[in-house]
Amino acid sequence: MQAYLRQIVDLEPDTTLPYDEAITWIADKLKEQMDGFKCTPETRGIYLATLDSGAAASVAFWENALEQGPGFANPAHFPLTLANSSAAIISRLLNIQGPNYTLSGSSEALYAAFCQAIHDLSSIDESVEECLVLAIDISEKSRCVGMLMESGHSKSSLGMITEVTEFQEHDDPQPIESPTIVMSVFVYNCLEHREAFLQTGEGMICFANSG
Amino acid sequence: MKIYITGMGILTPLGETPDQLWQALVKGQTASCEWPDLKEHGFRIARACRINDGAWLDPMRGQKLAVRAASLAVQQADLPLDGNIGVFVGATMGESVAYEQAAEGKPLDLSQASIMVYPRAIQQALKVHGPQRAYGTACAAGNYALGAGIEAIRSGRADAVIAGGVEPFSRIAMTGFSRSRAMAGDYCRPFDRDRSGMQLGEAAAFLILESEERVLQRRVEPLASVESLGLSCDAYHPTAPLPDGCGMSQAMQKAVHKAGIDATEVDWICAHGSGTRASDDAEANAIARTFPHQPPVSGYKGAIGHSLGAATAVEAVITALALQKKAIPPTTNYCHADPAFTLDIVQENRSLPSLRWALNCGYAFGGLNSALLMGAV
Repeated sequence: MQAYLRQIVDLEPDTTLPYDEAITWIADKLKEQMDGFKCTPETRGIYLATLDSGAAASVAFWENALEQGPGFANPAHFPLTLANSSAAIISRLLNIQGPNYTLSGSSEALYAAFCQAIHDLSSIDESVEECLVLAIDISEKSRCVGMLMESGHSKSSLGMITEVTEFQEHDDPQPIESPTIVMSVFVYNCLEHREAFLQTGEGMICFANSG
Repeated sequence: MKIYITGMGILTPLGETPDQLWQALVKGQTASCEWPDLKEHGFRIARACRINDGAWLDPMRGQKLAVRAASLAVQQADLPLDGNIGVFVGATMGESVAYEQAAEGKPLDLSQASIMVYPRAIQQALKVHGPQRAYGTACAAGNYALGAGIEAIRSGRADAVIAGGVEPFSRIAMTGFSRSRAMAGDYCRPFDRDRSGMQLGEAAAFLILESEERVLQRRVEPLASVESLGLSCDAYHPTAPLPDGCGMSQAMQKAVHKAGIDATEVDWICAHGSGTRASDDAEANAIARTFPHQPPVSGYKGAIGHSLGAATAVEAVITALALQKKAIPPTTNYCHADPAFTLDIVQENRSLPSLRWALNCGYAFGGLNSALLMGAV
């Protein structure tokens, strides 16, 4: 299974922004920086890996409930407590109506996001033509690193992305770090070295420049 | 490749085995009651459906529920734990109590609180090796985990999969739904004319998925098949669904299309049926739009509450039982037909000898829509 990389984004919202404003800023920038989806909204998908989406908002919402009493907490903040709140805000602003995934964890979540995106782009059943694979970390690093992938090769394709499953056992727990760190290394290698590998205990995502 | 369910484990407010839950649903029972600790804490509505073990403030509650339910599923399937066993879990926010305690000043360790702790806890407890996934896709998360489980086996990524969802009781969610005015003051009544909202629940449910080839090799009896998952997103509103239900309908159509059957072959819909006016209205529109042959529809959140990330996994267990027994339990607390709906809502226990295909639906905040097609063996 394979897909084609069309565009890379690397965004760093102001660390002082509250969570909802930071995500909205990211979504606005994604819309502005990307050359736009070519396909219809229902054939666009989002695959987001995150370690902390919703966590800070959950703590803040309960702080608010403790201060004001549960009958007075601000209801507008409740949807932000959910892990899928980042993907929900981005898909609404970018009108992504296809599959909408949020995977929780570090490198394994990012690997899973890539695998799902490549699967959906390669599958006739899914009718997905463009996928946004994102790693997002708001509370620690305030960063969003992502890739726009497409099912077919186009003039603007930067290279090909394939999945290699190795079925390695991993008894030792993987280090828990933000998926944005893993993704930024991958992105750097794609751009600088024209080939890159994102390896986890389970398998590997490979990038090869088609040029 | 045909994928079968070979074991199921649940922990719900109405039973700790699939059979206990089934019997309670058949009798029209509900776990809804008022909880003194919630009242004391200042909740205006203190009704909920909770597993009555008193351990609601344990910051590892979700992990413990997940491990117990997954172990029960493994036991029923008599699943050998060697080989490449995937663990795919759906949830909404993770260990809610850990976040609540962080708000009260305790340090927050995300590696012990976020959704990713669930598959890790199951892997460690059962000593299984293989792919693990944590889906943070809110109230549709159980279906996501099951759908990914199907793909993992079909692609050869896993020999068997432990897939499902978990949601420990959350005072954060209780506050959120209450403040959103989404909660029923007395009972949750899906699709009823007098429905006034949802009721919060908690649960864990896991299903063992295996290929037909493996089922034959192991000589185990399959309980039901899982065929295909349809997904879509409304991209419309943070909490409200598209009123015409066209996003939900898209997910339903995709599930049916992927399985290569016709929409008219769907015999029953195990609906999301949250009991809120907006969600039930949109779902009724979606069902009417997608299934003009008016298959029977039922919903069970009146019985067990809305267990958020676990809800679709619990309902997948109910769907599998219905497919096995060729019978549909009544929609809990459903008394009066809503004249706005053209649905065949199941009000009494119904025998359905021809039950072959059923659709398990679940939707989530953020506009996420999911529909899992399941089949009789």
